[in-house]
Amino acid sequence: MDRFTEQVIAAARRRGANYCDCRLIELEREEIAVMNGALRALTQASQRGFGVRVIVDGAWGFSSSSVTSDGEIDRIVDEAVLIARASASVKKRDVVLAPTGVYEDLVPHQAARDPFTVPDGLKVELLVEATRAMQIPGVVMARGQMQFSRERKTFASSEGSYIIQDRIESGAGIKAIAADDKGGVQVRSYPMSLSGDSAQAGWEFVEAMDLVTHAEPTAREAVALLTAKPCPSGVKDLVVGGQQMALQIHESCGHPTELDRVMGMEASFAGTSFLTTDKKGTFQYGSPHVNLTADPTIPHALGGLVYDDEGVRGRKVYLVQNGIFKHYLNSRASAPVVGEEPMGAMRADGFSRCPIVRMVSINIEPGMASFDELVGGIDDGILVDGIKSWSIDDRRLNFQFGSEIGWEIRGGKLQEMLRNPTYTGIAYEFWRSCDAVGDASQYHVWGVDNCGKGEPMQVAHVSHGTSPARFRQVRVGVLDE
Amino acid sequence: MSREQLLDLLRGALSTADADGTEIVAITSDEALTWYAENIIHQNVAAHTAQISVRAVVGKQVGSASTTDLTLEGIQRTIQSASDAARLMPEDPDFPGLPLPQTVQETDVGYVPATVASQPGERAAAVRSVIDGAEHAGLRAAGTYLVQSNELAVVSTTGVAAFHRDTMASLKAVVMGDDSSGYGYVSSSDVADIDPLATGQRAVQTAMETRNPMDVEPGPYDVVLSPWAVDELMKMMAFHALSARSIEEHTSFLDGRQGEHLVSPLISLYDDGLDPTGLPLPFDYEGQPKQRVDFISQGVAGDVVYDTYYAKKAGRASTGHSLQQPNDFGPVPLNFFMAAGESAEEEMVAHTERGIYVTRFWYANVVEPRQMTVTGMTRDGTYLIENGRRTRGIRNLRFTQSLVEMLKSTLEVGRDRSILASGFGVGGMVLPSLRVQAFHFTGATKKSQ
Repeated sequence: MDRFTEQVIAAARRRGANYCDCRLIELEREEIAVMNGALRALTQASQRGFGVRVIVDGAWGFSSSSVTSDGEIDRIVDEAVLIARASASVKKRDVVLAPTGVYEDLVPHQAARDPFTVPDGLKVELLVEATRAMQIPGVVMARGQMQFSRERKTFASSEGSYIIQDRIESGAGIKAIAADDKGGVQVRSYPMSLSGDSAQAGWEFVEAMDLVTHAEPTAREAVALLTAKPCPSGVKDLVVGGQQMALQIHESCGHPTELDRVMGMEASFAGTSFLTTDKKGTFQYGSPHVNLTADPTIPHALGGLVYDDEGVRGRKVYLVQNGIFKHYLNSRASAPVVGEEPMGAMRADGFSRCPIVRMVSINIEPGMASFDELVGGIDDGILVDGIKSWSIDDRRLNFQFGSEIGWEIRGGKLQEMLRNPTYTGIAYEFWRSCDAVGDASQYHVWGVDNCGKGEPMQVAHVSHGTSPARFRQVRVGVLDE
Repeated sequence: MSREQLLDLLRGALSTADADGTEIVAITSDEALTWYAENIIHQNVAAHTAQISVRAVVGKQVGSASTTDLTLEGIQRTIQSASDAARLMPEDPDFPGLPLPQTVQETDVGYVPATVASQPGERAAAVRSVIDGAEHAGLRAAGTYLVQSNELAVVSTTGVAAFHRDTMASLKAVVMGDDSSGYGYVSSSDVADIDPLATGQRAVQTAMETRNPMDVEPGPYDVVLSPWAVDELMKMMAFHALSARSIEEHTSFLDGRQGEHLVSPLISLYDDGLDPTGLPLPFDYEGQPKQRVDFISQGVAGDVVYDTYYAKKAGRASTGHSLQQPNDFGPVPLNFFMAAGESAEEEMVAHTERGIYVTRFWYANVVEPRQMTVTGMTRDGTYLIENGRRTRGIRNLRFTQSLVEMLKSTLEVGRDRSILASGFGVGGMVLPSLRVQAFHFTGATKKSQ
């Protein structure tokens, strides 16, 4: 244990804490935004700070600071203990932590080429070239962005764990916005909407995207969407593309399996979950084709980790197996309540936030269907892909999602392009209607760096391994009803 | 720190800057949050953070760097990093230059020492009051009690020197039964304004009144929207449609429509960082004074907000709505108001023969930007209105609705407005209730099986 974290643990013990952990974090971030071939923003940020979590009188307290001096240790530990005692004044029962291993470990990052060693000029030039290539007639805005982070996180606990984890993340994406004089506006992105795709990887991940080659075709799709047919309204068979599947899994499986949410802890913000504890092990969440995992061990996955923020070693679990709901994302305090063991899903957004149950990499296991077979099995339907709009109710049941692009499917073949495709449903009804999942050749792990949860809001970096999948008799085209 | 201490620290740090121009934005925050659920406090946290962001300019090259180290040495290292970064940057031909100092009306409205001094035990006692009320009714309470104090300072080598501090206390209560829930929320810069009893009681009453919800068929309904429901919708509008960036991207419904009668004459929307009835912020993150911007005046389309970058592109002055630069978000209205009308909320309900009262919307998102078509769900207290009375709870509904059409179809605007703090730790919205004709509900949630 280093001197700083040792002092924190000792200070907490002296003040009567039964348990204490400390996270000391050093983080560097770089974000680049380019607009229509010109640099719009390049920001570099560094932060350093520590967070202290204690159990005193059977209740939690947490405090944190961006000052890492010896004197600050006493102030922050004092405050954490004071807060824990205030929490204890309204406790119903003592916090009990499930046992976990005691680890001493140094976890290296997974980048081949540290993006912070790549000249900024090279990064900017790549985005400039890609956004210029998107400036075709009809495109009113071509955007490109990159984001990189490099973190060293030291975790120490009063139980004896001392873990240093290094992590490098890289991500990028481009987007074309096309508009016409009739008020039409359409967007197309590559390789993924929002902030693009991200991974625990280095510059090699961005290079492999080949942004420049994909720029013009992306822009052409945005322009073509302006005059595409509107998505028809009705009940139709649906193929959900791999990128859109990331959103579908995120909202209708990832969030509802968070055990703290199930236990009501998120009720005042994002709500609760339909996956109540009585359903564990028996509930028909989906069809037998549906196998959903929480797997933090997938190499390079943005949601991957070796140890979570309470020192639990991450492991793969089946959330849904052959359609049956099996397991939750959990924590040391919540897992025993439902007879589970912690699986490594407690994560905090930086040093100043207390860990909460978060997604890691939540994935659908590939099936057997080729893409042609997925489409070929539909007489009258649509294919949608590209995350554009999302909304789901406070129990994670009623969802409505919009995609950047769609295609009609008739007679087992892709037909005309569709604009503004939307689809809606009830989570378990939707997953029960899944009758095929795409094979491993279509599988990709998408990085999602904007998952929000908690109060104050914490943003987590998660990921979703997906193949496209087919769903029967889904309500589509909500926008144009 | 005091105003002078912080400004002196930053100006002192600037003395070593070697770029052509340097700007420092300092944000400090002390934040404590008590988070409760299932009638217990399950997280109780504090955070003391500082962020120093530096923008350095060499000719038309712009570099930036930030740190959490608030010491003189730490700030000077960051200034040097930004300067070094600038020299490696390609030139930005659109860079408008660091802004010159403008007169800023600094104010201490919004800063209350008692809020700074509040303690964890006081928050726990307030939460206890909400929990007791819920338990007494056989219900479960969840929510947060947040207390913040923030400082913002902007200094630059052009002479900008602006300082603002504020405090915020906010209590949220979601009270749940087996098949219903209710909501209460209050926020103020003065912790003394937080009334846990009234906030909890409102949530309890709603949860009790909406028990045994009935299913109603989706479709167009006349609605009365509480200020909390209006907040969720106006946040979508403010963020997606009321900035110079949204005009540039042709995604704003105001694009090319200035001067046209777009919506009901009952509707006026504006941003005013100086209005003391809101949560004032007298200058932006470039140190430029906030101008009042009228988005819609009595139904007529008006202006949008600008920062110096977009102002230069448009050949006009900044309206004082910049976030920290450089950024790719564009300017944002942080002090949003809807002008008050003449009706009490209960009068709006009384004027509705058959309709729906919405306490809150949840998880709104834009489906189509030009008409601001938004989808989302109701939650925490959705009532059927029959013959001018809220008669019973209904199961939550999904809406898919153009907000432009909604503002066209507004029949009444509330005379009482609520101050609703933003989730960003700065600014917020001041909003009334609305009565709207033919609001489009497009789906309903279900009982889980």
